[in-house]
Amino acid sequence: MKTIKINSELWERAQEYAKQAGYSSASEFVEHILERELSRAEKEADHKEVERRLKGLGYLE
Amino acid sequence: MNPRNYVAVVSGMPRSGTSLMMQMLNSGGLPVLTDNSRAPDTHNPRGYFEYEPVKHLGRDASWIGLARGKAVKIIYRLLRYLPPELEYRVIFVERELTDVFASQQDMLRARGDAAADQDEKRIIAAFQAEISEARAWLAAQPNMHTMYAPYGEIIANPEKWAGELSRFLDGLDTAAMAASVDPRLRHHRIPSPALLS
Repeated sequence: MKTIKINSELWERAQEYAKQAGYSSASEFVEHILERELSRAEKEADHKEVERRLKGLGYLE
Repeated sequence: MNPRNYVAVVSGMPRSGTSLMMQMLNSGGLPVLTDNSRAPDTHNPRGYFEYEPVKHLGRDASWIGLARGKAVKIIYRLLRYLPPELEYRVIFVERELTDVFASQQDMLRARGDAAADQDEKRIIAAFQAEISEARAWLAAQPNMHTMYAPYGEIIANPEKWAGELSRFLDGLDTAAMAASVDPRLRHHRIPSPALLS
């Protein structure tokens, strides 16, 4: 496990939202958001890599 | 008179056997839409059967009417740009992605393209994800009927697959189609227990 620093006000908002949304803790909520955003960014990066490959092969403009 | 009022689309991943499929259909009597802008080479000795405007399908699909009653090669990424008002029969060629990757590597190296340095595992995983998305998308299109054609099986049993293709496309010369398949054209074959796509 690693510890990260987070703005106090943002942490309070995260705690409040996590409770409302049914997360067991604000940490779980933050982990979920990080995981979701990283997956999205990685998928987008992979998509661009495939695009670069298809262009290199002459199949996309 | 050509009885087909639909567009026969040959699709899949580049280097999955789409040129071979075009060659089979052409041999079987189905006209193909091609401008021969890409000449045959060592990677595709019998030609690419490509039509340059396909590359620009995302911004100009005005030519698609020319493909009615014919076969046209369109890679999986561009299928979503096909105008919805026409009917399509899509032959989606599938090949083991390790073989596809290896064949693409040859071509990229020959072209001196930096994409030849991409990581194999990452690209294959991305290919798998994109093919899954393409399959789901195809299944949801009411104007598209799709037949999945496994490249390895076509090479191993061209007579059977010529028959399948003929049924899917309302009758073709199956003997000529099967005869057009040359097993020596199988560019790359890396043993693998499962079809990845």
